[in-house]
Amino acid sequence: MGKNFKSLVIGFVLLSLMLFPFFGERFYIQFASKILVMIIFVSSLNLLVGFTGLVSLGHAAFFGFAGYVLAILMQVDSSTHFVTALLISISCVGLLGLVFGVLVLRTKGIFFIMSTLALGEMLFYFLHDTDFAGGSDGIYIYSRPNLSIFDFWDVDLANAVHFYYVALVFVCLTLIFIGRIIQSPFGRVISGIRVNEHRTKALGYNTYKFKLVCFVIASMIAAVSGFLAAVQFGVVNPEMVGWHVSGHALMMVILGGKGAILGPVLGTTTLMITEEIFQMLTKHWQLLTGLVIVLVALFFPNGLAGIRIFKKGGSM
Amino acid sequence: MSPLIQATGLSKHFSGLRAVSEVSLSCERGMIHAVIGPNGAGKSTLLNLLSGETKPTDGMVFIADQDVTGFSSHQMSLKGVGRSYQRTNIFDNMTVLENCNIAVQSRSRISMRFLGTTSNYPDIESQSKSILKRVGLLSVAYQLVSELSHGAQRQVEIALALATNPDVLLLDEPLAGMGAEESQTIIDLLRDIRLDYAMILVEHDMEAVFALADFLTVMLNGEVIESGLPQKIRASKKVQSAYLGEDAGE
Repeated sequence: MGKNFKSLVIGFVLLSLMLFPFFGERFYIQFASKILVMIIFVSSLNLLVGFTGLVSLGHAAFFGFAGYVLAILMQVDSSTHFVTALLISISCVGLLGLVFGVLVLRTKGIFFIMSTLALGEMLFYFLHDTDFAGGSDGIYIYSRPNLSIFDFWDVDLANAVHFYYVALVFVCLTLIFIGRIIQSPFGRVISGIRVNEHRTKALGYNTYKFKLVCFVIASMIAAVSGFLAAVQFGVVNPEMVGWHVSGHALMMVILGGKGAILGPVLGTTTLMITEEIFQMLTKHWQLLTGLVIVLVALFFPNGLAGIRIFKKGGSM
Repeated sequence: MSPLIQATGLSKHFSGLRAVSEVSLSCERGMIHAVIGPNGAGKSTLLNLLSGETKPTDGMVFIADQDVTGFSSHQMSLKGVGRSYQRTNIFDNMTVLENCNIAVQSRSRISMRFLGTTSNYPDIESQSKSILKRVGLLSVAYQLVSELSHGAQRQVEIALALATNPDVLLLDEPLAGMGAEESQTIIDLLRDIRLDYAMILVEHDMEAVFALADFLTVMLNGEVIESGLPQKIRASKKVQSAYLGEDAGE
């Protein structure tokens, strides 16, 4: 019954998400798209934090960098196809992830957190203080990459509804992809690393290599979200790379429940909606948001996904 | 017959402290080589040197005549060295079977595959189950290890070492904190499997040591003070004073 019930709930949620643009106002559709894009980013961070036990404060580097790659690409050739641009962006970020990973994975614990923060901030100041990519103003993306599917279906990414569906598809793909990783032989190893890295290594696994692969995969998923964010807003700026974005995403991971596939979905949606509501209520909305996070952390240490009704049969 | 594992002149100094000093030993398949000595004698450090978890300051380690000095723990594991830990070092919040699966999978070539699910590779689980059957844990395969008794957790500890299909087994106090009955289970198990491995056994339970060991090395303050067959060790004045005398270390 549990499993059927779960499929039913997921089916219902998906259906309502698909129908949402027919009823929602433009503002809400855009806001929902923003949440969807953020879910991808938070899920990629959860792969590191929740599933591998690597707490990164520099993850926004990959998010922002992906946007910059797109912006520069569109400056070079404004007719670039969406898929080409996305693949180039993911590859560039994957390379950056490899370089960052090789450096930061030599450290552990708090030193890992600090070195991810340091590298992220280095990228921030590089983009902020040089003329290379528009400095502190960033770059405007005047024309979105074109997304025509087999020449007969033109998706206009500047159209809020079109973009919403594209984002929804990518969220589903991301969640399925991460779900596959977790259930794979590779996922078995990274769960071993999370629980007991010392023993995993003693069992013959080169844990450094596994963490590096995982770090690069997570950076590439983050690239998808950064790419989509840049497409949605038509602008990239150094703020996208800053540690605020990483920290915000980390809060969503913790709020949702680290180490659960649906944790980022719950955490991101809840935090972004409550923030929006609090912003309408008061100027000091951050105070209220902080309170909510503290309360959830206090009463639901496993996050929202750890609350009984969200809990699915046994496995995480 | 050449030894499967051999250490010559192995030393480890921690900023002045000579934790292990000039230790040489060897072990061949089918043999249990026990290392005994009072607390702080350097036995666990010695095992760490043999398993690659600590790099020696001096000396060499050979596995089947190959120089493996300075190899890291995962490389040593792949060379066929399995070890168990004095303080239980297993995967909490996972079932016994999941624990064992991680260990078994380390010998396969599938660990970098991240798209197919683990259920596509049923071999891993069936191998795990045969290991669990061997160590007497099959009935609790689907229980979380954190819910097991201390004794059963110690058995998981040994199952993980066996599951990597090693040639050399380094056992660090496998009987630590066990009741008489549980100890007997492990002793029987070790007796059952002794012919398949070269075992180096660190243990405080002297009754078990003399019941199992073919050869003994006695350590005190990082040094080997005596080594030989069990009857020689039993009769040794030096060993007696190390355990009972005033210079018995801590």
